[in-house]
Amino acid sequence: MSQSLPTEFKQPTPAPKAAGSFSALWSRLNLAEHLKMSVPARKIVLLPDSHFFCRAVPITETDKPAEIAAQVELALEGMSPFPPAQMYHGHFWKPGAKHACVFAAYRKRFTAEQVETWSDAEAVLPTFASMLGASAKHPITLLLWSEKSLTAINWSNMGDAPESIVSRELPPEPTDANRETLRTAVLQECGFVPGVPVFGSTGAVIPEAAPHQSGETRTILEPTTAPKFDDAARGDEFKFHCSPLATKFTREELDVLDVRDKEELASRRRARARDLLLWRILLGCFAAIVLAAVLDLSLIGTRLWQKARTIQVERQEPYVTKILIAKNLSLRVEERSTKRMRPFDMIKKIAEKKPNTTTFISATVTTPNFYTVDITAQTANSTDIDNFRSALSASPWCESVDFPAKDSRLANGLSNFRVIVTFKSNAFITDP
Amino acid sequence: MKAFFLSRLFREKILLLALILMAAATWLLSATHRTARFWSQFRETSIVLQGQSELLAQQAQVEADAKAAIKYLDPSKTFDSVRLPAEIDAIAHRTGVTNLTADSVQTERSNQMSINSMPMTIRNAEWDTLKKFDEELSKSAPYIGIDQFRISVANMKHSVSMRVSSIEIAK
Repeated sequence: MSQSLPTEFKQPTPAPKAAGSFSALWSRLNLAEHLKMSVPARKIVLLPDSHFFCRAVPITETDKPAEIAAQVELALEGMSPFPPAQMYHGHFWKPGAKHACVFAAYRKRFTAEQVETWSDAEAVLPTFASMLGASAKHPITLLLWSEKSLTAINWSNMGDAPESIVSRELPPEPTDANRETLRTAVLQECGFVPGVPVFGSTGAVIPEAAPHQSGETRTILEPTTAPKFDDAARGDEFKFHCSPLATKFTREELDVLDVRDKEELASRRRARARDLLLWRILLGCFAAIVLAAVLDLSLIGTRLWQKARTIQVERQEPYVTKILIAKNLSLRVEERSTKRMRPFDMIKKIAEKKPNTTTFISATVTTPNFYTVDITAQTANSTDIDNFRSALSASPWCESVDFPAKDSRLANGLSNFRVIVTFKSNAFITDP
Repeated sequence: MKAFFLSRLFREKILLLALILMAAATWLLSATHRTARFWSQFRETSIVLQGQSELLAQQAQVEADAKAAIKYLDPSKTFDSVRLPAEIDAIAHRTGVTNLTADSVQTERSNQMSINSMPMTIRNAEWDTLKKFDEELSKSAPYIGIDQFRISVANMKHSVSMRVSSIEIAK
C-alpha cells in the first residue's frame, strides 16, 4: 500500500523582521498603522512533537487545577533527568480523569531565536497537545504527521488522559518506504498487533478498527492535515482543526498546555486580568455614553412636549390672572364688609397699659392682620418691659403679645424694643 | 471590539480608556445636568398647569362668590378712582388735616368690581386731628377702608403713612 505525506503540516513561517533600524523605528511610529481597527491574528506556536517526552501520570481525583499542577510537577521531578526549571513542560488533564498527560522538553533543545518568537504568542505547546482535547465514542489512536516526525496519541479511555504518546522522527529526506516503516513501528509501539494491515488509501482518513494487544479493536485516525490553529473563532476560545477532528480549549485550559516558564505564564495571567479589568471599565464607559445619548435623545422628545405645555400655560395665563384678581377682590370686599382696621383704637388700648417710662416711636398695621399692631417703643427703665408684657397679657382684649428678642437693643441709656400685639376679634364690639 | 482592545499595547489601552472615560464622564455629567435642569422646569410647569387647571375649574365659584360679596353693597355709594381722592381730600378738610399728600390711584379690576388703592401721607399732625380723620374715614366703611397704616412720632408730632382703598362696583 503506497503512502504519501499529508500536505498541510508545515509550520507557519515567522514574519521577516523589518530591515534596518530606521524602518523598524518608522514602523513603530506609524500611528495610522498602529491604531488601525484591524485585530492582529492570535498567535499559537506549535512546537515539534519529537522534542518532547510524554508520560501519563496517575493523579488523585480533585477538581482543583492548581493541585493537579502541583502533582504533575512532583511527578515530573521524579521521572525526569533534569530539574523542572530546566525544562519546558505542560500537562493535559480532564476533570474526573485518573491520569494527567505530562509533556516536557529540555530547554536547550530550543534556540534563543526560537524562544524569542514566543513572547507575543497566546500559547506555546507541542503540536500533538493541540489534539489532546479530542473526543470520540470509542478509544482511538491518532496519527499526526509532520514534516520530520510522526506522533501517535493512543487513548484507551477517551475520558482519561492518553495511555501513551509516541513520537518518532523521520530520517532526512524521507521516502514513502521510510514513512511506512515508521508508521508500522509507531503503531506496534502503541500496542497494535504486528502484521495486520491497518492502512487505508493514501493520505486518507482511516476510521478503521484495528486489532490491539489489549484484545479489543481500536480505531486508528490518520488525518490528512497537520493540526492547525483556527483563529476565526474570537473570544476566549481556541480551536484547532485536524480533519476530521477538532478540539476547543478555553484560555485556562490552554494555559495548562503551555510549556513556557510558569512564572512568565503567571505574569501573563495577571496582565490578562488587568486587561480584562480595563476592558470592563471601557464597557462601563460605553454604557455611560449610551446612557448619556439616551438621556439627550429623550430630552429632545420631551422638550417638544414641554414646549407645548409652556404654550398652554401662556395661553391660559390671562384667564387665570382674571380669576385670581376676581378671587382676591372678592375676598377683600368680603373682609372689608366684616372687618375694619382700627389703628387708633388699638394704639389707645395698648397705651393705657404702658408704663410711664415707655414712649411709643412707631406703630404699623397691615392687612390681612387687621387686629395685629406692631409697635416700636423705648423706655428708660428696662424692667418696665416685663411689667408692660404682664399688663398686656392680662388684658381681656389681648389674644397674644410678643416681644421679639432680636429687635431689642440698648442705646444711650434707653432700651429700644418691639412689641407685637394681636387683639381678639371681639375686642372692639363694644366700641363701634 | 474586545479583541481589538485587548490586542493593543498597554499604553494604548490606557490612552484609549482615558479618552473614552473623559468623553463618557463629560457627556454623562452634562447630560445629567441638562436632564436635571429640564426635569426641574418640567415639574414647575406641571405645578403651574395643575394650579391653572384648579383655578379654571373654580371660575364659576369665584364669580358666584364675587356676586355674593357685593350683594349687600350699594353701587351708588362706591367710589371710583376719581371720587376716592376727592373724598379723602374732603375728609381732610373737614377734620383739619393740612399736610396731606396722596399718590396716584391704582386700580385692580374684575368683571364685577374694582378696588382702587391710594397711598397717602400726613405729616406733623396732632394725635386728636388724626383720630378725627380716622373716625370720619370710618363713616365711609366699607366703601372706603385702610389697607396699611404706619404712624411715627417725632418731636411730639405724628406722621402717618397709609394706603386707603375704595370699592367700586361695575354698573
